Amino acid sequence: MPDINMPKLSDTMEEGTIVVWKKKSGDEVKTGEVLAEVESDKATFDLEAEADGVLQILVDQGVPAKIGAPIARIGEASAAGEAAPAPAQQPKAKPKEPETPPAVAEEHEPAQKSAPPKQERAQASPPPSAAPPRERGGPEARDGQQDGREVKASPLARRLAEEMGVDLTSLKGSGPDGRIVKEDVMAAGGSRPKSDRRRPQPAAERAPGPEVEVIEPSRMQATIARRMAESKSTVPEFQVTVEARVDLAVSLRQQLKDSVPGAEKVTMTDFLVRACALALRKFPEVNSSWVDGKFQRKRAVNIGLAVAPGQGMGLLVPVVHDADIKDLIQISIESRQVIERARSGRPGEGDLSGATFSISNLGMYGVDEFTAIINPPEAAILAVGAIKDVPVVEGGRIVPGKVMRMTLSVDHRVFYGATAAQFMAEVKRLIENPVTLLVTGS
Amino acid sequence: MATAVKADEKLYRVALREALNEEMERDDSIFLIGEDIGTFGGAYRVTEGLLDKYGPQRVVDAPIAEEAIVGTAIGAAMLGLRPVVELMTINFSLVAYDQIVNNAAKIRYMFGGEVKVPMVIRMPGGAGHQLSAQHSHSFEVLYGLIPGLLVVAPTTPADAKGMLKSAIRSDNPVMFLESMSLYNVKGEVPAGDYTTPLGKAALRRNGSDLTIIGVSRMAVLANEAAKQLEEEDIDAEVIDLRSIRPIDWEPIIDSVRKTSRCVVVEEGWSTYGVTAEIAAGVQERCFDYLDAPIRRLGGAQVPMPYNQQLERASIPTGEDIKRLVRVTVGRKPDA
Repeated sequence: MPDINMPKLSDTMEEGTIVVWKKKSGDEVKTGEVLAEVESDKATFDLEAEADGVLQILVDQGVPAKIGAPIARIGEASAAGEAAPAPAQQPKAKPKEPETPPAVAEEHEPAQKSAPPKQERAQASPPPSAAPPRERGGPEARDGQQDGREVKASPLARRLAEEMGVDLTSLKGSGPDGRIVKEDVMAAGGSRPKSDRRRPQPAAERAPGPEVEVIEPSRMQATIARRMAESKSTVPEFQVTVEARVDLAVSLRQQLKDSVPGAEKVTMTDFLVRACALALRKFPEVNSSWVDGKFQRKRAVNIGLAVAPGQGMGLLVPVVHDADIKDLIQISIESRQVIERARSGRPGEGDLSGATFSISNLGMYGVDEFTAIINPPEAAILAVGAIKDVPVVEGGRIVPGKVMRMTLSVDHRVFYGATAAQFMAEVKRLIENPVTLLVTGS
Repeated sequence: MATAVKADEKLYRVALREALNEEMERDDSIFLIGEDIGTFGGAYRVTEGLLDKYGPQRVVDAPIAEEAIVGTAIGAAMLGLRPVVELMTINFSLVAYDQIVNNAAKIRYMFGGEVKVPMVIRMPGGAGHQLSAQHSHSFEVLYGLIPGLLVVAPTTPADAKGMLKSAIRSDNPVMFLESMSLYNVKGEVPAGDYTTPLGKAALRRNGSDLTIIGVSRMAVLANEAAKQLEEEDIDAEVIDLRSIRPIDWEPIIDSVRKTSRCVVVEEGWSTYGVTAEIAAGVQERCFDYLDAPIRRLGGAQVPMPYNQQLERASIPTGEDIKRLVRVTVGRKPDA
């Protein structure tokens, strides 16, 4: 009648709790079956039966039990109904033992002094083994019924069975000593071709309803749909992409956040707003529009920031006005305020209008690079990807570096490839030399 | 490298001689030193004719003192020459093991990279000639375990020439392990100057049922066994390890992931052997791809017997490889 004691699942664990019993008292259980989920201070583990027999639960779920304390018992079928024997009959319920017997430590002491090689020393003190529960089997150990761990199968067969959703316990192995090998699993899995090894998804219950649901767009969504279609169908656009090293910008941003009052929340987008504003002043043809067959060159440099609304679907483009005559800190504070006002649904006058250029930064979502759709009558929009750690070649050596890719979508009626390239080169130069963004009047 | 034009059938030992001759012509800092390599032309005739051509300054007949030969070469290499040592067999290298392990392999490290040891030690190994317990060793593993050494074992005449040239041009000490049994094997050798990289395994045969990885002469046997196994409908892929240190894992991993089964063969003792290292590495890198245990084959765990029948029984044969392959693919050991 083996006791099942609360296992020690981590070095720091002192007691554990049965989260849920997967079996009831009186259930017939088999070796390897999952009996319960046990929660330690760190994680949750499956508790498996180590013998065949009838389960008798001693500790209810939700009640903590000390390590080593009996929590259940597996006995003969007839003994299941008997009363639990007195605790004196449970020699296994020991308090926790010291993890490393002192004798072992002493034995290794002199060896450590005389033996110079480090490897030996490392080997001389074996890691304390605190008799953890038996190692988890493969992923099939989680299916709750039969964990398949006692099944003799090759690693490849196990992996394929997992991928193809084949139950190893139902197979007869054709390999040496009855080992289940690849062919057995392939045969059972309908010998799907290698390229099509997919775990079949259990057909999820689909909620009842019409095949297609018709949803009314919000006014904002309707406007976006109209304007984007208009843009794509009327603006002859092309794209220019550059990759900038942003190691300096990243460290400058950190310095600003750490040490400059008001710059605590400065973002990479703020850097870009400042850089684009400076570049736009240098290339006024970018800060222009094509209206009724004429160029409209704008005096103000107003930069729109594509952001997701606070609630629901859609897109907002709050605008930082006169970005070219504001310093980085001002831009940072103002862009945050204008974004917050727009998201809260109470935009100030001009908060959502008057942009002469836009920036869409999806870097925070891990996007490498993308192209954005121009918001007419603006002539360009900058799409910004994530900052990534990459190996870069510097003076013939490979060093770790941070890079960011930026793609400019351009209205080809307003300006042309060479200008787009020069504009992007200027943005890249400013971002790569971010001190230029701090100087006013540059 | 690409100047090789046509390929002629040549003996392995002639290919080695070509490499020595062409390299000595190219670079007069190269000299040869070893026992009986000059007047006698080498115990296996590899250096025949080179004394006449290059004179006793560059083809040095040394006394029977391997430690002194290797020590001399290390010193010469440190001072800018490129010695190519011939040890009559790998068995005698044990006498020079301290020089090789403690000096050749370590000096560049211990001098902070300021001194190099560009030298080659050529030495044949292997059994099969009734040379008994002391003269039949396959010691790949003794050198394979020493960081600081490059260890190669070419198995074809073309590789013998190309790899010896690479070894001579290397700025690090190269243990160049030849095989007594391969000296008189013929194979195509491209004419003229070409090099074969050190540190690279060679795929000798494509197959889908399992991967046989052979060390030194065992790669040749594995290839022959693989051909014969075709008749039994077993399609074996064969990799010639070629470089014992470093191990070229990439083709091995690619192959085992493709075939799911792996047999590793060496002539030396497999306990703690090259096959042990390969099997462990394959297991670590390909565990989830394995459909059968990795099997190893090596020499019998005895000092090599003199008796011919016993000696044959102590070295892996093609039949042994075939048996192990059959078991590994789930067949009966005997066809």
